[in-house]
Amino acid sequence: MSEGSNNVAVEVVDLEKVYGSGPTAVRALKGVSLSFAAGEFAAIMGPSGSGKSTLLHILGALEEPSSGRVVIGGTDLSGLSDKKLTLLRRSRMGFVFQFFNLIPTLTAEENVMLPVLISGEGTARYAERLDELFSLVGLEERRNHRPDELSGGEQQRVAIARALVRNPDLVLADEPTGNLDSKTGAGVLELLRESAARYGQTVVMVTHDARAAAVADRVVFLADGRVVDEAREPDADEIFERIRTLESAG
Amino acid sequence: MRLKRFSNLSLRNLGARLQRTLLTAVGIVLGVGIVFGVITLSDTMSGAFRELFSRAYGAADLTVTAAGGNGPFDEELLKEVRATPDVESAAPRLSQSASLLLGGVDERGLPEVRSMRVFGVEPETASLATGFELAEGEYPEEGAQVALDGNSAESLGVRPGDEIRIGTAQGPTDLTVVGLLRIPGGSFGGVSFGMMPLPEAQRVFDKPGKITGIAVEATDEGAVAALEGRLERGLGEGLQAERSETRTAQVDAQFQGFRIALLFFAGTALFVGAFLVFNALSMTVLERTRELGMLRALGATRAMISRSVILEATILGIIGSVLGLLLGYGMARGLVYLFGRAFRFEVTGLSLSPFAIVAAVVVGLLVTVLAALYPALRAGRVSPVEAMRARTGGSAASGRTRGSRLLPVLGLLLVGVGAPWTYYLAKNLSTELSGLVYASGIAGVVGTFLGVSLIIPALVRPLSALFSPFLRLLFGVEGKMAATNATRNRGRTALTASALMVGISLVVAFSALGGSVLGSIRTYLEDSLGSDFVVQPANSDFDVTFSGGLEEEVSRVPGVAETTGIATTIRRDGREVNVVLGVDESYPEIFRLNINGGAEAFAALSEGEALVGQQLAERRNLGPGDEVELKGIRGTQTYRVAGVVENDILAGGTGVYVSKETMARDFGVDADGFLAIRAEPGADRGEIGREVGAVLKDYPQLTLYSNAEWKEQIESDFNRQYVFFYAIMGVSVAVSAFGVVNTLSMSVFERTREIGILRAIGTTRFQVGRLIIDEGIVISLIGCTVGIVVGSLLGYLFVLGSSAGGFEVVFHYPEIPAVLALVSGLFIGVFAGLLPARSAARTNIVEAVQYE
Repeated sequence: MSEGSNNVAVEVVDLEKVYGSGPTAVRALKGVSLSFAAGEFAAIMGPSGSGKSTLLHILGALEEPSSGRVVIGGTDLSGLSDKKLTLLRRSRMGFVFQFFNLIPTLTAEENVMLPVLISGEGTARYAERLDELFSLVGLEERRNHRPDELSGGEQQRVAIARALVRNPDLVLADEPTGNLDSKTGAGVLELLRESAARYGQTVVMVTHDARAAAVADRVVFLADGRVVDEAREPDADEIFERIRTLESAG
Repeated sequence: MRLKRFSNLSLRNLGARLQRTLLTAVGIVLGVGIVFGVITLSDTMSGAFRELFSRAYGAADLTVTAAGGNGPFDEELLKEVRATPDVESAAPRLSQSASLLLGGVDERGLPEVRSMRVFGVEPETASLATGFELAEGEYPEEGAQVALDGNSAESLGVRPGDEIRIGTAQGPTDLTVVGLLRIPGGSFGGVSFGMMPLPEAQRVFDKPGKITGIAVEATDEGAVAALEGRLERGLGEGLQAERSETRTAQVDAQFQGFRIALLFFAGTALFVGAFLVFNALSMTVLERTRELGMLRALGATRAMISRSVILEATILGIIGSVLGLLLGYGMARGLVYLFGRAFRFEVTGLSLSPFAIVAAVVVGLLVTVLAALYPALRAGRVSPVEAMRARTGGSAASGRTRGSRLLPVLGLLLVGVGAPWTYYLAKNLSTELSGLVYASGIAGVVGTFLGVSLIIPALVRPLSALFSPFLRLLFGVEGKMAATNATRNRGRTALTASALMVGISLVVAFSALGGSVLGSIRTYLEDSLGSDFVVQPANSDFDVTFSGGLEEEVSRVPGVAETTGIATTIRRDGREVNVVLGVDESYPEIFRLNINGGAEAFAALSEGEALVGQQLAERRNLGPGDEVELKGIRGTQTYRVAGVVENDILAGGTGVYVSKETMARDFGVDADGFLAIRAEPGADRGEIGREVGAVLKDYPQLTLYSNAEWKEQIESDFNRQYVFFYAIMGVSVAVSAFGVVNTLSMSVFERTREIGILRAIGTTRFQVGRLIIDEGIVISLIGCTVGIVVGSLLGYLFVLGSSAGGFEVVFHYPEIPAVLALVSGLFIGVFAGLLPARSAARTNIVEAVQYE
């Protein structure tokens, strides 16, 4: 949040991503360089096909870039094995998805504990953390409910708690408000912002909703696989304006 | 329940999809059930036989019998045995089949009887002679006395002091019960046992001075081996001394082949069950793509994901196996019952071996886990990016792989090798029943199936096109759409159809074999049997005989033109089993023999020569002028082969025909066990039947059949045996039907959106449901059509190869089973489609259309 912080948490340099080969090849990213500071809440915006999802996948070590470097918390991801990348995701990252992706057969609490179970840590030492997270997301009363007994907003709150449970350095959110009404969406964003502030986490969110982006400290605009613009703490109108410019240019 | 470990997630998954879990487990349950049932059946049967032998042989260290059989020999030999050093005691016995008269009459007016085995024994050595124990009273001393087994006494309501009546070679004989016998281990089927004084038994069974066995007790256990050799040498070639274990081992060996054949059928059910697991788990993985991606994003490794699928399969395997054991227990009961009916044999109590339990569970578990490997691998390969994607419904639906062009070629190759191999082995199957031959024959059949399964994907499109107009006619436009749908995931359609193909083709192939053998027997009987009536032992026992006086009496019945009696004995020499038939000059008058060597060859029998059955001749490479050796009571004798009998149905092609004189001299059998009667042309056959029946009234152990009745009897015996195999094969067809259910559910799931759109544009629920059912019919029809073709081919190979009865088996096409298979294909399709069709019809249009 503090401007000009040189405490860089995530850095990408000259990212290229090509899907397919030959005449049907699609260049999703054409040399993207960005860095995000620790504790920064950044939004990535851009029209469909701008490469914003691809960028998020690469940041999340879900996909490998065709060329370029990704450095997360001092670790260069280039050439890491799938296993190493998986372990990196496990220990350093949290994910919030557009479709919540809660497991329907598990309770809210069990869903939150999933990363702990995956890491094979004992669940006992997370008792306090669970209390803290459920009070943060305001769902103390609903801990033993199953996803289908929760509203969309509540489900996304559970998902955020799940992303935060092991204290990741980087939280990646893919259209977190895409499936929510604007009021509920605002609450969710507030929560992301608060957690970034409270735990010093870097939050990178992909969205096409200007109002959602307006909550961020910084908005990066992507078009046609390139970073075309950037804004610090913009308001919604400013973002709209820039998008319009981008779209008419494209 | 709080989730404590990641692996617990698998359990939750299974619980949440309970219906599918159970549907998947059905394949394993049935497969494990049938494997367990079959092992238990063969254990029970071999156990029962082993017990029968141990009862008959009792506590004896060694038993002396006629070489190569259970034929009678001279009781003078007892003295020699007793005089042999190291013999503590020796007990003679004369073992004979008889019938116990129950007092009532059956629907044909014949006396009701139960088979009985009677042992003529000496009172002093009775306890050694057999394995039975005296429970009450005493052993028979002399005259018309009997010690009867307790169960039979109870069911007849007789006590020591009462009388029973048994049918013997001399007609009905009344015996006073003096003692009751205890059969260790309970009753053996419906057979009764009795002991009589030896001289009386020799008299009523027409075996004066003869015994069939001597039970020998050695002075001490260490001397048994030496004594065995000494007796073998001392008694000459005509007799053999055997340890009880040797005979037991022979029984086990005989059951081995039977067991392997049964396990093969059971294996097909399990194979189909594995396919069910494969399909269901692939479906689960597909459904959970996004969830799996999410888990990967959250840091679950590939191995963790794969392991969780394997774990699910393991749990499924355990549940399936345990339920399978329960079902298998029931199946074993049913199979033992069917077996008893088929082979006229009744056993009480199952022998449940720990081996059978462990084997069934291990096989079930192994098959489940193996079937899960590929889906597990695929689950591990799900990209974490899938978590970000909206829905990935049918992304894996494209069936074309690199090898898809090569596979049918490989399939043709496999069929090309497997089918001739099967033919070659089928030919040997009937001659040497070794486990190895069975196993490699099965390998040939399995290879053929595998090959056809590989060809089926290439057939899906043409066959669907073939059925399409037919379905269109029946079901309108949905029928045509369904046919196209079936080709969309060719791999899955092909797998499902293959499973069905295996079951159907086995049914058709065995129907073809059975029908052809039966048809050929019928033809043979019509061509070769010149008799109008036959008299044979009610239980087809080889040692039931009747005195020559009976034949004379029958031949005096007005209207009887000709009679011929046949004496039989069975010779065992190692693995070889031969039936020796003693016939007289009148034999060719009634049986029209086709003899390679000329009809005059028959006359050579009176000079001590022999005729051999075709199959025996082929096996030992015999022709007219060659010599054949047989072990008898005079030791191994050599007979010149006068000719080869091409239609030796009485002995199944392995018969050796000799004269009655040779039979009595070399094999000790001087009484007939089978009588064929020819009536004079124009004589009233009904009247002759009644008259002969009156002659036989005193011999309830013999049954008179008119030709029609006899044929009927042979056919119904045959069919009863076949029902047994159908029952086992039916299970694998049932399992594959569940496979169709699974595949259709998967289709419905994959096409939720498409179904929603169809509904949105005005397709009715009914039409949507029918679409799915039609697809089921297309899949089933593909499976059944190919199954019928393959089954006919295999059946033809079986028939060609197995000149089973030593006579030529003519291939009879199994039209009725084939038509039934086709019809059952339609039914399986419809019934398998019902549930998935219902869920398709209930698709929520709005949700389905958003499903993107």
